[in-house]
Amino acid sequence: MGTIEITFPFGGQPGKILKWRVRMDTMISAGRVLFLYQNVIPGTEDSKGVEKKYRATRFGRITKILAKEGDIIQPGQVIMILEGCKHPTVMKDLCAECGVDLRVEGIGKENESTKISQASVPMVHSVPELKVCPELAEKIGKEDEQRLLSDRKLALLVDLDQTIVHTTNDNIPPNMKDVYHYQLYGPNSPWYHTRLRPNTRHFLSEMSRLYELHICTFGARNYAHTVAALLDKDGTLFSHRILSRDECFDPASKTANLKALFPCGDDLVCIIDDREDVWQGCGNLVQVKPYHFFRHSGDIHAPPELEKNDMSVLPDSQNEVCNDENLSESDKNDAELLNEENTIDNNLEKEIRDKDKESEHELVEKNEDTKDDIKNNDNLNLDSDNENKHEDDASKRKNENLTLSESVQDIKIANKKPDENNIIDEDDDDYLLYLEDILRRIHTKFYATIEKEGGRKSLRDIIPRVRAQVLKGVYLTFSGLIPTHQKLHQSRAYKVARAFGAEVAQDLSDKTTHLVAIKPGTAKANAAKKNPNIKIVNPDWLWTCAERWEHVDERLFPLTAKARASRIPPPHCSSPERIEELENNIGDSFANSINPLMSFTPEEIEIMDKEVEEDMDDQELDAPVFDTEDIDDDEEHDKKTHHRDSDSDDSPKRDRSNENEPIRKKKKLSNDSSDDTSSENDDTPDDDDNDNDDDDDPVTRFRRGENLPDDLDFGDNSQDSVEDLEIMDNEDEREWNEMGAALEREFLSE
Amino acid sequence: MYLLYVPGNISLEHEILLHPRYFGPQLLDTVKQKLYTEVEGTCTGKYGFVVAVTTIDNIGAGIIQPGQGFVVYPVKYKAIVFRPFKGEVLDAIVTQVNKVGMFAEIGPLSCFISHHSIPADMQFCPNINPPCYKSKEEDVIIQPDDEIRLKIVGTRVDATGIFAIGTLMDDYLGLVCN
Repeated sequence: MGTIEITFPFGGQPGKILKWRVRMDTMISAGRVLFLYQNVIPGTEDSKGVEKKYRATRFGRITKILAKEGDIIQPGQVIMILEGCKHPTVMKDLCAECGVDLRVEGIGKENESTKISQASVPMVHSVPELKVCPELAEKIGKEDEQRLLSDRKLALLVDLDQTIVHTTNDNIPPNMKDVYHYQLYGPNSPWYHTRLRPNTRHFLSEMSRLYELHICTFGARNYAHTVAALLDKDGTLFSHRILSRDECFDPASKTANLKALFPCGDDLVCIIDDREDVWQGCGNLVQVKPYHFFRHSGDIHAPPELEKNDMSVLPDSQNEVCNDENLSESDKNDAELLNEENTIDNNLEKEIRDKDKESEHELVEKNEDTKDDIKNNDNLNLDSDNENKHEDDASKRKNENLTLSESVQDIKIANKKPDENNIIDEDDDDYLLYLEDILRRIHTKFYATIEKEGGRKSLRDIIPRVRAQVLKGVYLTFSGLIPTHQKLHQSRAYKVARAFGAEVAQDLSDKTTHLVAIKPGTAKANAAKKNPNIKIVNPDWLWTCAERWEHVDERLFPLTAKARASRIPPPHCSSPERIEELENNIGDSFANSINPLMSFTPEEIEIMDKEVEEDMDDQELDAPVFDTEDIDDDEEHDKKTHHRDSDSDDSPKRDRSNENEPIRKKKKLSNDSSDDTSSENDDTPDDDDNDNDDDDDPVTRFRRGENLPDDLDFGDNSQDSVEDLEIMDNEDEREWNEMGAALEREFLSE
Repeated sequence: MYLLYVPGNISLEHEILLHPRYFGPQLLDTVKQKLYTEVEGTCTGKYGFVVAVTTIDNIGAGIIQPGQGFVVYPVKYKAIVFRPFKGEVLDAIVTQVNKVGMFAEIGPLSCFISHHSIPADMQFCPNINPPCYKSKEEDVIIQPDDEIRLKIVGTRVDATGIFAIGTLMDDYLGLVCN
């Protein structure tokens, strides 16, 4: 849009400008009064007649005014120069400045249709149609940033599902404490049930003093706004800063929207989310331990490609509705009849829930802080019980779950009776207290850097630095944590420890402060016992440190024969540097990729053999206690000695597991369709869920808060996590291809 | 002075398609009832929003559709319509205020006013809850649920409704004091 000259109309009398009503650089629209004038008799300077208003006929910004007040202007004389509208703000393809319809404007000059407006940045969270041009976005972004800095605040993007709330659309008893029930899409739509994470309100109100809070969720817009209203009735916390799936550019990633919301960069942006994958290794992320309250439902708003088995929850919702309706009708009649039965069922349900809880906590929260040590004692006792009966337990629980799902309907009816007490689910999740502390530290660190160094640092750098402070000065050595064929610096445990600032060495040395061991009796554990300066802990210590971002007391995580800890960090303890390091490793030499043993010196191999033998000796002593582990350790031993064999053994195994995948999906599909036809058969998906549990990958299971299988971490690391699984698979393929190519070359050269 | 919104009472036509099960003594009542439900609250590009049917002038002869049994009645009626025009001045209720501008509603019509179309002395204040636009002397504050007078500078008419762009940059526009 070029410049436009505004001329005094031809054919009229000359006029005398009495008063300008506009100034330079103002935007004017058609009809706006520009100046007042009186007609002048030609030839004389006398003005006569009434004051007239001269109105603008076009929209634009005044760049030049060519006549002064008191000047006499002739017809056809140029009075001012306007700059046409650049359409910097566009709403639904209408320019919000001049009101021009950009779709109409674009017709006829198709090549220019895209150039008519530069507006491309949707700056307002909840209104994706409203776009502004990059320059304006930057200007607004800068103002926002200045405001945040002057208020000593930062921006915090808060994820909803599994971070501060847990929502399900499964059938749940209607009188659970602190659970909100609502329908999103009118009277016949599915019911949603949302439970706030303990301390959420406190957490948000505290954080709103340090951070400007934004919601950033993959839930639908309706859902996001409903939950925001639950959290924040008068809009003090989030206001309208709510970004939902409807406004996300990319269904599998939230990173794309960052640029639009914060056009001046993400320097002041901190993110809390339970999943790392949707942020693609973004340094601003503080990964949160997933909150899990309702059994059998994971993240109902997981991105479509990443959710895996989480989807299996959704089809239930349809059945649920009719189920609910049926219930309310049959309610009164059946209630009495079922009364006795239900109390039994209820007890059963509670029992199962308790058990599930325990086993869940066994994994991560077995060792609680001193705050709740009473509970802790109980837990530990129960854990040790669980320990011995573990196998029995697992099968028992399955049976119980089956009976449970059959009796779900009954339970619901029982709970609908008003005289029954509220079900108070014990929920001792206290993660938000730790998270609050983490975010406080980040905030303090950010403003401390500004004061100390004068310049401001991006939170992208600050957050990893705060993380690296957690275990600073700690020298770790691992024992039994890393499979022998894997290099130390490639293991996830190493990366987690490094991300939190610990130094990690292969062997014990004078510097070593901690030995992280999977079980007592290894060579390193025995050696460390003799050194009073070395604290011996089980891996849960490291995972807990990583989860809470604090140096946890080592005494809570003693290495005992009965302690069972995972070798692999829980998925939420991952470190963002991992991705880069994997990329760096691609350049490894061919010999290493074909067989790691080839790159070892004879001495190293000797040492390894020794360790194996010692392990074997220990096994024999401990054999009666560790039935299951014994077998696995034998396997491990096999691998060490016949490494080449086991390597080739692995691939068919993996293939098999891949083959299972589509079959399982098909099975689910057929199940769903059968559900549609026979709506009475409500239990099928539930049963199906239980059956499939064993096949689920560990991440999904962990998200659902179920107990992880004990054999999860044995053998190679191909089961590390979803992402790793894929990467490893790719790597495998690459390895084989490379080997094939090398062989080919050999043959050709001969 | 400026023309304030006067609802138009316009003659319109509509065809009612009726299922044979309604054929009976209540037939014409059903046709009328169906007209109300089908027409009120809808939006057409030419006449805008149909607010309410005032009179039903004529229900023409029903024509039975061959092979179906359905009957079609052409109905002539008058209705109050609301069609916003460019340059029209209207009173609106503010619904949302943000850094790019503000949204307002005139009955069924929603409208956006860009920051640039709000007088330059009004500044956006995000720290106050709810966020608002405030003049330098702090004597004028526009926040959600306030009544403002605006002028429409552009409209977008599509199948489901009308959207308008407004401005406060003219005489006598802005906050309406009660």
